[in-house]
Amino acid sequence: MLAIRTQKLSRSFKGKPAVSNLNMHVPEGSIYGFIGQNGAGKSTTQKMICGLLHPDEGNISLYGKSGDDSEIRSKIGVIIESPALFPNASAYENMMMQALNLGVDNTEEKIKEILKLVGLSDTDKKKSKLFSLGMKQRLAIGQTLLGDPKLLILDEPMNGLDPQGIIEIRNTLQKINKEQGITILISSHILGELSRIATHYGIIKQGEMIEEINKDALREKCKEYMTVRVSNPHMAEGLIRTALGANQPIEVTEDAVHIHHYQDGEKINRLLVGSGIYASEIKQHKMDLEEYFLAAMEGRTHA
Amino acid sequence: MLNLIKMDLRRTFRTPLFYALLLGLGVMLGTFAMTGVMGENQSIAALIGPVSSAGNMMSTMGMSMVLIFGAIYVVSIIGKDFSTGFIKNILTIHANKSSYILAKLVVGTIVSALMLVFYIVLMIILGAIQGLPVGIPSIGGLILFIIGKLLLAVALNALLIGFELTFRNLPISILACFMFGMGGATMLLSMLGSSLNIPLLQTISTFTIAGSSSIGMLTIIAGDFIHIVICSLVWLAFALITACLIMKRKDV
Repeated sequence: MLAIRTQKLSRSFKGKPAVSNLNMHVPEGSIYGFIGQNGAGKSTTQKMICGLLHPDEGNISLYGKSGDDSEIRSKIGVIIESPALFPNASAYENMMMQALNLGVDNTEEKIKEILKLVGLSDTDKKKSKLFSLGMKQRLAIGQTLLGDPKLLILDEPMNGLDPQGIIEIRNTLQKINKEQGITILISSHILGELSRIATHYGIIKQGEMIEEINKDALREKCKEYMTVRVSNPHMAEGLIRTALGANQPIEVTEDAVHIHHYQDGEKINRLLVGSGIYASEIKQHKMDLEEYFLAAMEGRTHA
Repeated sequence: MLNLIKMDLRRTFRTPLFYALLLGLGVMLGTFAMTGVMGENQSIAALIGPVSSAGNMMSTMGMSMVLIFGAIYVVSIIGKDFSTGFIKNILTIHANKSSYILAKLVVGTIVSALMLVFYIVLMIILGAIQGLPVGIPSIGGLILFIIGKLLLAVALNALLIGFELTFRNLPISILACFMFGMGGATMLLSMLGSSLNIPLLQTISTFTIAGSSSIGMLTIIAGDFIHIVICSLVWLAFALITACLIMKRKDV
């Protein structure tokens, strides 16, 4: 079952489209990394899913029901843009506010349990405005966990965190996803981190979903490629194509030729040297999410 | 909606603002007592509200401040919801946005009622210290007077909730609390009606919230009470419908 499904979701601001005909499919139990450049429409999409922005067109369904369904909505935890905390209240009091907002039973017990889970059980009466950003983020995540959520929508939860904070958030998210089966829709610019936890990805560019891919398919697509750095890449490309056949996926950049799914560097070197082309570098690569994302932005991912 | 009310009530008794507003009322009344303004009134009843048609400035201003402080509290908690971003947590969970408005209205009514009780009790204590006689015409009159003021407080709160949701600017909303609560527009209408000799304008001015508030008395006058009830309900309905429409259409 899909936790989130959007169909042709569109929203403009002052005539300028922020999200256009966006189709998103977030499987239940997944950690869905939602990636895109600044201003691509990630926050707008997330806000529409949460009911905080009204779509101009399209529809949203959550667990097969309408996005406006009160029962489903009460099972969503959100962090949009920044942690929503009362600065003069303690961690416990902030949790209590959210617990009352949700109408949670056994409040005290539940709050203590979650504060322990997010590592804030020893903050006592310290006001949340005195917390580090990492602590605030963890507290906000703690708030989202009250009321036994089925779905978390997190907008840049790792922004501004130090490496230790990032690790803590990552571990917490993985733990709740695995142990409680909570679906997580997470947007982040820290793609290296995202690639460690996400099971599915959606890549958005200028308001349009350009690709949705799961972890295994991404791994398949990110298979090794060889970079051959030469002064005349176009001439080298011609030679390589002739030698390896027209079906061999090859990309040419300003100073290099990238040969996908190919490993015989020695053969390529012999071929080039035989034609008077000297490679300054021949190296095997494996694409990571960051490179894949950049390639997707440039429309090069289907090679 | 009940969850939201519980949440806001907990906030009310744990945030300094509520107590600061009560203190403000106390300081205002204490100032009246110390400067001798209180002693000029003939009875405690006259401090609370006009006994006959001739009201006094102190009771009119004091009651207006109770209404205004209640409204300031409501707009402030809405402002806080937006400034902290907590509104996102609320509106994600509560798909029906009108429940947010109604919850704030209920909490505002409770706060206004507490302030009203605080004001009256303090008036009685300070009046007694000044040695003034009670002089309340009838308990029924006092109850109707309090009900009337409370209804007007609800209407004013609803109006200001709509105002804050529209402009999302706390200083402007607080200014509006004073404008609507003190009756700037009401006075202007009344003065215009008087100077231009247009009685209709003066009549219209009594149908504003501040205008209705000024006709409330401790003596039982059925017509005046019905006037206040109708005015409150009409303003309340107008404000609620407008606020709900704004909330439905406006993004967060």
